[in-house]
Amino acid sequence: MYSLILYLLAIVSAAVSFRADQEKTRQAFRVSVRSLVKVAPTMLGIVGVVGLLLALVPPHWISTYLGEKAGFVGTIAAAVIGAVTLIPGLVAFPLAGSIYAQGASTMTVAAFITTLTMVGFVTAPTEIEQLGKKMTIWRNSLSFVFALVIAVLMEVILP
Amino acid sequence: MKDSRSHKGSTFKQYRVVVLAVLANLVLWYFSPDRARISIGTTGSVFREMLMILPPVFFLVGMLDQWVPREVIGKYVGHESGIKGMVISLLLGSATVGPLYAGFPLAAMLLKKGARMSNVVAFLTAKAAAEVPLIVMESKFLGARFALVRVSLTFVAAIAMGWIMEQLSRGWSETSSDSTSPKPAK
Repeated sequence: MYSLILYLLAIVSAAVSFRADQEKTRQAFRVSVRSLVKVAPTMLGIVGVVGLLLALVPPHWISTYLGEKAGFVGTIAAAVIGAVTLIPGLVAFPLAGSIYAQGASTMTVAAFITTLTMVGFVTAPTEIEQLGKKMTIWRNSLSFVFALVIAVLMEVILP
Repeated sequence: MKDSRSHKGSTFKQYRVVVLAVLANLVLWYFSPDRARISIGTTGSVFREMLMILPPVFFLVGMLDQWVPREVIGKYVGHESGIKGMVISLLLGSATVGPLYAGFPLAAMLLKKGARMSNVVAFLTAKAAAEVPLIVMESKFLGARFALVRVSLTFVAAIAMGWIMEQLSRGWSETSSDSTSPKPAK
């Protein structure tokens, strides 16, 4: 659905743009193809690693493991697991729900979701390609720290 | 994963992670076909997701790059954009659906065209952790209160991170110079 909208948007804007200025449209097309070709090796690598990760560390292990681990240790573990894995959103929230159901604290669940979404260890190579090494390292490190802060505040606000 | 067979030096080097992943899957297949099936299945679905999203995203970013003048980007999310720029960035982040990696090309283009670092970081943070569909899913599985508190805190974190990154970035020169974002012709 979302990708249908994206493709429609791309096609419609291409048509409108082509009528207004052929050269600009061609240029946009050329540049986007070049960028795609450039990120392709990294993206395909990421895809392969994500598959292996999810196969070697099945999601239900994560929920059992984090459900049992109590206290701050559990929260740190959750933050680390969230940072290094790339779990599609459709799997992530049911998983977070089951971690909660298996007895993990608010803090642990919040840390997991926040690092899972904000910190991208697996996608770092493409982030570096596009935004530079310094920005990537800092953005991810700060996200990790802020995820822990958010987690602690969540525990205070919603015990 | 099909085009990993090339033995040309640089191509091989570029695709070495892909080659390693293929080999790892073969080894995995030998020891545990079930696990390998999960791995290949996930790889397939993530690959499909990327294929559905990245080509139009790169094209649309290329179009914005061609059509939106520097001054406009500067006005809305540039150095003089102030609080308005921050609000626009946060809303843009929450409103644009899709995985975080789909936000990198847009972020790179915005930086190149004079957007403020604090705003770009806030955009990426909001995009990552405060997207509207994410909030809906989260409310369903973890409760609306949980989702709302987490999202509010995420916005505060996004602003704080943006501020910190902007102070840090004063010392860099690399930020967007080595990006793959669209560059104007010659």
